[in-house]
Amino acid sequence: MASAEETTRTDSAPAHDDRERRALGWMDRLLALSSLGLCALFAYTVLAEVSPEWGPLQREYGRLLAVDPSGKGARAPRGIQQIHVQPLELVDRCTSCHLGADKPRVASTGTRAVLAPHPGSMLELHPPERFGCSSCHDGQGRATSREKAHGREANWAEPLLLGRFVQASCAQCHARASAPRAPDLRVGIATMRRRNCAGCHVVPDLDEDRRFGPDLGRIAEKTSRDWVFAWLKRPAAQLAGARMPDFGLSDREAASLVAFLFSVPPPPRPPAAPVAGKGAEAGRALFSESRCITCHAVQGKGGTLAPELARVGSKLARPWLEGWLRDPKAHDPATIMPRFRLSEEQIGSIADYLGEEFEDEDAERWQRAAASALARDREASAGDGRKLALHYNCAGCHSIADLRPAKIGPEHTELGLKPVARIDFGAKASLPRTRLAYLREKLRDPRGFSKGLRMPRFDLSEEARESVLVTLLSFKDRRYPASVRAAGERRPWHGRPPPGPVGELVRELSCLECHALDGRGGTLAPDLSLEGSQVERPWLARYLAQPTTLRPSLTERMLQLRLRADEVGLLVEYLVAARRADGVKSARELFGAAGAPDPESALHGRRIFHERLSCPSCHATPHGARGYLGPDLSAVGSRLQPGWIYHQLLDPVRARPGSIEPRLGVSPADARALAAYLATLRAPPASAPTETSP
Amino acid sequence: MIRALLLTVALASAACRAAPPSPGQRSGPTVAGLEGAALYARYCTSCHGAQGGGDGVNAPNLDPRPRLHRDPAWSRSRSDSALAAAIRDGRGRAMPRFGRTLKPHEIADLVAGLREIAEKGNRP
Repeated sequence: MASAEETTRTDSAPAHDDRERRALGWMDRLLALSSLGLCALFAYTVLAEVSPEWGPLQREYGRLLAVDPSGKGARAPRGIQQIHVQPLELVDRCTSCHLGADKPRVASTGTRAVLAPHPGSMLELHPPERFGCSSCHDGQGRATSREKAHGREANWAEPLLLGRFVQASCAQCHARASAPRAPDLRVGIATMRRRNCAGCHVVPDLDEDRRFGPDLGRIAEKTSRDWVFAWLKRPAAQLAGARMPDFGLSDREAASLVAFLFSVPPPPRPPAAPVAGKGAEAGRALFSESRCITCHAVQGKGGTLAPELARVGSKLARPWLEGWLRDPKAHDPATIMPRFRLSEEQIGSIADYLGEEFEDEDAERWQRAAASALARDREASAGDGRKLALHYNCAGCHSIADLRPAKIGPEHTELGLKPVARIDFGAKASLPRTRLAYLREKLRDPRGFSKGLRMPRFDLSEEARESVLVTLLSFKDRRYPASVRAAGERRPWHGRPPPGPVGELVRELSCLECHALDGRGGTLAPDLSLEGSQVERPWLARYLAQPTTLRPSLTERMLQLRLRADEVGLLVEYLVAARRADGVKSARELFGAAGAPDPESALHGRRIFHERLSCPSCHATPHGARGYLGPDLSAVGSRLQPGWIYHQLLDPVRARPGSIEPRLGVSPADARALAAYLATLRAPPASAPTETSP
Repeated sequence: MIRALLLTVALASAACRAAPPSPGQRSGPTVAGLEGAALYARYCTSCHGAQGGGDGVNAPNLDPRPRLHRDPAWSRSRSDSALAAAIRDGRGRAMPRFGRTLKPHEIADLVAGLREIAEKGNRP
């Protein structure tokens, strides 16, 4: 009985104890684990504090310095390094890890890029103590861990810029169109200007008020419905290098737009009788003489300022072409094409040539396709077309009836800072959530994100697209003080004609599309700001009346505009009187009272030119020099003033910024002798210049 | 929870160990080479050719003919300082001196660009 009781007790007691012990053990373990966890967390916190990411790097750099023969006992920095740039309100701790960035190379850093000096010579132009690191590279300058410093955090607005994208920062201080060492920025903004992004978006640096597409008021006189239909469907298929993007229009939409465009009554114009030319051969000669290919390309060869002409014969209606050649700006006030002073017969000959020799071999195909589509969509109405024209903002690029341009796209002003959280990735869920990935895809497939998007497809080459992306990321303004900004570079392509009648002429001839005045205008042809101190007046008059080629290696040549004598006189008067340089000697100041070089000094100069210096490599003279990179100097004495020759020889880079002529270190005495020699190289008297007076 | 914490700690420390910047993986042109290539295009190609083939537009007018740059063997036989000196002081009568036009750091970039052009001579 008792034993039975005992048994029962001993039976039940261990079970109870076990349960208790098990419960205790569980609690114990939980406690032990959590305290272990806490210890670990604590240890980690302490460790993280005493051994930051830059610790091992600084020790490694120290070891490298110790064994570096050129180190001369230099010591590696210890602790957090920082660069504080007061004017930019910048604190950058990048050099805590990038230890060698601003120092000479330490031998055997080998492939350790993080310890290597900053590549290239950028730091000599932008010393870190003035510009820091993050002013160019972005990222989070104050952070002291790798990921954070490189800005790879959600919601950090400016992740590290890598590779070509560093150029995006140049625009904080430099004008995009002329930023030195930023080719992507220059190409990108030029591409955006050419494709007229500012037609729909507010784009910094593209704030000029100019329409880029043709005036469509006379489209019905200019070409056929078939051509407009085919063009609207796929511009790039009708014209190589078309600037107009692809709007992805259905046949019905394109037919509606055609109906609308052809329903707009063209503005009245003076009646002109059809002109008879002297045939395509005469036209070809005029085409080449007038140097049309300076701006237009023919089958890919020629300029890029104006449209390719290869297939224009199957596009243009003859009466329109005659009117256009007679006076382009009367047809379209915004065109850059100047009015060539052509006779009616010459106009006819050029029209003969363009009509006969520039036929589109593909014309039959697109004409047939367009005609059948237009016949199918008979119900397409001008009203629908007008709605579409408004929807797609055709007036952003073209002038059409009473349509007004509108900035229907988002502003680009702060695009480089647009928060990723505010970007709608829509259907493109698999894209990395970065601003760059979004913009790249937007340019590639603008309407793929969601339904109802309007942006057309621009068919940019991959290279051009990357350049545009660099430029898009540059759209932000940190408002750096003027002291660090590069001065005097704003909007160089927007020329400003002088006041008065000469300005009217300059505007009408579109001189500043190629030439610049005071650093504003085109870059295709020489800057004319100091022309009056550079050239001899008779030469200038002769050149404007009958342009010749100065540089044999150039393809772009001065247009033969067939200016009237009074027009030449006006331009000469202006350039000679108003466009002078300071400190250029007159011939008398240079050569003494006679104002002419003495033969002895000219002979001395000839020897210097041909025997001592490398001038003959680039220039041609009658005395054996054959280079044709620079201007031919065979008759330079008739063209350039001796004072200017002297001035330019002393310092060609200062005299003509942008010229590639190197400074040879010519002494003033030698420059005088050279100027004397070159002044004796004159055009033969047979073709001696005769000035055309107004 | 704690395991998760411990795991995090372990992973974090492992990540820390792995995190220090990996060796540079740069390939292709260096920045110096890129800037050098731009200078090369501006000042050199008219005589030495766009690809360094010694066949620039002005080459036929020169005696001696411009040096072929796309030649790794030639490039390797010249030191940086020798190349820099040729650019700075000119060579013979045909090659002008650029030492007063380009700054020393630009000449150094140009030499780097020249090296990259030379190495392209290996490729077809």
